[in-house]
This record gives sequence, structure tokens and C-alpha cells, in this order.
Amino acid sequence: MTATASTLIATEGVTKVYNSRRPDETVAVAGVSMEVGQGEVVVLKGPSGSGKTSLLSLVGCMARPTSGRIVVDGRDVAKLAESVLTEVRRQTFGFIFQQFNLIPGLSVIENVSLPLVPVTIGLADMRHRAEGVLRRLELGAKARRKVRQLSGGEQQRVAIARALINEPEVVVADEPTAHLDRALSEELLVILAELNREGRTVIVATHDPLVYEHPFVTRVLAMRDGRIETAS
Amino acid sequence: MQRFKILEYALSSLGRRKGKHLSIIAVYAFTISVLASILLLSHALREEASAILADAPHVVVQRISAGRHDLISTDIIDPVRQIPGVGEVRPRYWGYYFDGITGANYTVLGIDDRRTVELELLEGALPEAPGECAVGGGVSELREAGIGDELVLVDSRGVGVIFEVVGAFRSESNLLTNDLVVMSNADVIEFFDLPQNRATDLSVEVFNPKEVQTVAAKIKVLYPDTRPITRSEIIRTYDAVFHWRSGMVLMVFFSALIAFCILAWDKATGISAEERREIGILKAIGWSTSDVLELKFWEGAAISVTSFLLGLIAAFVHVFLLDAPALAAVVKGWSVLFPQFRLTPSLNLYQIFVMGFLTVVPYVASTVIPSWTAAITDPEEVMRA
Repeated sequence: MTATASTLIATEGVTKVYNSRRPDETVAVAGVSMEVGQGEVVVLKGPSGSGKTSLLSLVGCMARPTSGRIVVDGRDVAKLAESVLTEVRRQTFGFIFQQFNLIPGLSVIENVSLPLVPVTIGLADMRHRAEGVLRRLELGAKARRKVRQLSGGEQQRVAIARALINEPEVVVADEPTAHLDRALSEELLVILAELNREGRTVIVATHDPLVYEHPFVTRVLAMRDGRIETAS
Repeated sequence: MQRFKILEYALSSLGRRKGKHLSIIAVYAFTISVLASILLLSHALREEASAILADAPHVVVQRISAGRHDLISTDIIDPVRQIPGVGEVRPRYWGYYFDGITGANYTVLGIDDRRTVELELLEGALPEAPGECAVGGGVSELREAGIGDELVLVDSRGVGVIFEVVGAFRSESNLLTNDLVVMSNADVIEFFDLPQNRATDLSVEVFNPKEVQTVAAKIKVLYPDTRPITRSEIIRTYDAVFHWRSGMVLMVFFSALIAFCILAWDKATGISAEERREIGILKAIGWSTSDVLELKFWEGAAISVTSFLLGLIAAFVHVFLLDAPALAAVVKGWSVLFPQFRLTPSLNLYQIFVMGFLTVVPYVASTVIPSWTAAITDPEEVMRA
């Protein structure tokens, strides 16, 4: 597969095997080749265990493939040194996790600021950026609260704020509506659509029809047993 | 700047698990305080011994009879003085006195008009006339005898003798004077009923310090029933005794230290699922392995340095302000240090450095190394675990 000019992420025959050469060896992703263009909204859908979260981790540079190539912005990230890969992950991707993955003892603003802690940026600038992104997500008034004092929807918005603080090109979301009711899920989709309108690429792994049937979605890739079955 | 921010995050991270970290600090600081107490106490005692012996005679000549210290004849003073290199030779009159009233042992020491004993006085004067005495702080306190008061002691014939207290000692080292009762040589001879031409021992001054051993050997050859003891021998003996005693305690304590290290290692290697998940989150949102390790380094350093300093301060207070009640009996032994005394505060920086190195470094390592195994794995795997 050859990446086109607007291709931001491309995978070529990517495979991910867990517990390799052990009795519980699992092939989570089996030779997947795909492309994600700049500004697209791509949904990976499929049942539990189909490999969508593993593929999402691979394209988000959170894991290395067992074999195959992953090209992000023209660079084969599978071969990059850990420090460079971290840099790519930090600058290019913003992650929204299924479990929110916030740090419970920290306040909202501390959680949102976390990605900027190891970055060369002053404390005042860091606070300023965090406050800005929180205001945007209507969490400005709750910046000093501990995250465990927030509702599920608010925690999801904190996780989104944290994903956006580095102003990433790509927003990666793993089952973002799994723990939200319908109203909150729709609110989340509005936010994702808005991020996409700003020019950000969005990749979502989900089995929620509310997400993959949403009009802002560009492409849906259906996965089963670690492979892409259909694309629409 | 990012280093400062990681440090700030490390401190707030410790604050989030207050209970766990405070209990680690408490156990760690206690361990350090026991170790530091032993080292500080034995070091301070050796310093005390050196202070006492700094003005001691070059050679003390005792007579040994049937293996025991016995009175020595003053007739040998002139022949000893004839040995080349020998300066003054003086008889010393002193003895231990058990005070039945207080249950304490005093050292009764005679001085002559040439002031063989140079001791700094708090107030008053050294005894000159018969029936006068000067007392150390411990004696003064136990017998409630200040200047102008009377001190009644029972002599070797069982008769109570009244002495007038004319001076009370002070010194950089309480150990030096605390149990002293000083009176004139004539009064000591009378008090202990010493025979004519007999002294407790002789003090010998040697002009050239390098010849002390030679002079001591010559005295031994001339008078085989004597035991010449050089100042350096006494210092070495004190040193060996305190080393031996503190070594004994250290050996016992060492097992406790090992137990603590095992506990720390177990705690650190058994990195909790929560910590593992947090490392995964940090990596997923853009922290590198070195950032995570730096965070863990600061966490470990903050705990171990805080514990070390707290332990050191506790040991200092225990040894120098409270007189080491938990260890004194073991390290000091029963010897002449009775009654109470206060040690002069002194620190051996080398010992403190070694102690710090041997406790802080292993703890920091046991915090960082297990986190390293979590930090080098892909963040996705860490979060799945």
C-alpha cells in the first residue's frame, strides 16, 4: 500500500501478538493494512475481542507491532527509539480512554496539566493552557475539584481536556461512550465533531451504533478476529 | 523547568498516599535513628575518652601484685627520673569511694601545690588547706553540696570526715569531672589510710613523645612488678572497647536493618496495580521512560532523605539531649562513668555520609528499579495489566 499525500497514518500488514510462544498466545491484530487521512473521522467497530483497541493502541503509538509497518506523518514509528516515539505520541496524539484513566487524587486542573509536566513550558503557561481548555469544555468552575467528586460525564470531559491540552493533530478515543448514558454520549459526539471541524483527525474504537452511525463519521472499518472485515 | 515540575508532581504524588508513605517514613526514620544513635554514641564516647586523656600523663606506672593493681612505692621515683628523656615523676593519690547514702561511686583525687591536675572550675577554688574539697557536678547534685556546704565522707577506718566544699567543677566534658571529689594529697593519704612511701600510682612525663614506649619498656625492665601504661595504650583500649560494644549492638541491629531492606524491596518490587496503572497513564499521555524514572527517583529520594534526616535528628536528641537511655547501658557498660553525665555533642561527617549512602541509595534504587520494568513496557500493556 502506498500512502497518498493527505495520508496521516498508514499501516502495512500490522500484526500484534500477545504472550508470544506461550500457551495463552493471542493474535490481537492479524496483518491489518489501512490508511487514515488528514481530517478524517474513522471508526473501528466490532465486538469485544475483535482487536479494535489493540489496533487503536498501535496507530496511536502506545504499543509496538509484532510485525508490519506503521507510518505516522511519513515516519515508520515501529522502528523509532522509545524517546522519539514518546515525542511523536505527545505531539501528535491525544487519547480518550474507555475508563477515563484520570488520577483520582489529583484535581481537575492537575489531571489536565499532566501531559505538560515533562515539557519545557513554564508553570504559569501550563496553568493558562489548562484553564483555557477547561473553559472550552465548560469545566472552568470545577478546575480545583478532585476528579472523584465529578459525575461520569464531567470526568469524560476532563479526559477530553487532557487529550486536547497538547493541541494534538489526532484524537484517539477508545470506547468513549461505554460508561455514558445517551444524553452524555450525544454531548461527547458533539465535542468530537467540533474537534473534527477544527481540522483534527479523529479515530474511534467502538461498538456503539450511536457513534458509528453519526453523520460526522467519514469511514467505518468493521473488525473481526483481528482483521478488517469491511470498510464503508 | 520540567525537572522542577516533575519534582512538584512527585511531592504531590506522595501526598496522595499519605498513610502509606508516613508509615514507611516512620519505620525508616526509626531504623536510621537506632543505627545513628549507636554510631553517634560510640563516637561521642571515644571523643570523651580522648578529651579526658589529652592531659593525661605520658606514662602511668602502676604496681601489680598477684595480678591486681596495688600501691606503688615512692622510693622508685628518683631511679625512674634518672632514665634518659624522663622529666617529672610524681606520685598520684586517688581511689574510688562508694557512697552508701546515694549508692554512687566517686573518684577521690589528691592534688599537690604544683597542681598536677588542671581542671577548670565553675566557681570557688581548688582545695589548699586540710579539710577542703572541690566536687564535680554529679557529686554536688547527689549530695546537694554547693560551695560553703559540708560534705561528710566515711574514711577507711569507718569514721565520718567533714570536708568543706570550696569549689565546684565545670568542664567541656562532664565525664571528666562529674564524679570527682578533689582534696589535698595529704587528705587523700589520711582518708584512705595509705602507708608511708606508698602512692596509688606514678605519673611520668617524657620530653620526647616518640620515646614514650622506650621509657615505658625501660621502667618495666627496672621494675618487673610494675605495669607502665602509656597514654596511647589507654586511648587504644577505650577505642577498642567502644568499638567492640557498638559493634555488638550493630550486629544485632544489622538483622533488623536487613529485615527493613527486605520489606522495602518487597514493597518496591511488588509495585501496586494502582502505581502500575498510573505509570501507564503517564506514558500514554506523553511521559517518557526517563520522565517516569525521574518521578520515581524524586519520590524515593524525598522519602529516604526525609527519613534519614528525621532519624538523624532523633538520634542526636536521643544521644546528646536525653543521654541515650535506650543504648547507654550496652555501649557505655558499667564502668567509671557512673553517675549520670552528658556527652559533648560531636558528629563524624564521614560516618554520617556512609550511613546516608548505605540507607538512602538502596531505598531509592529499590523504588526506581521496579518502576523501570513498568516504565519500559508499552503503556498499553501496562494499562492492560
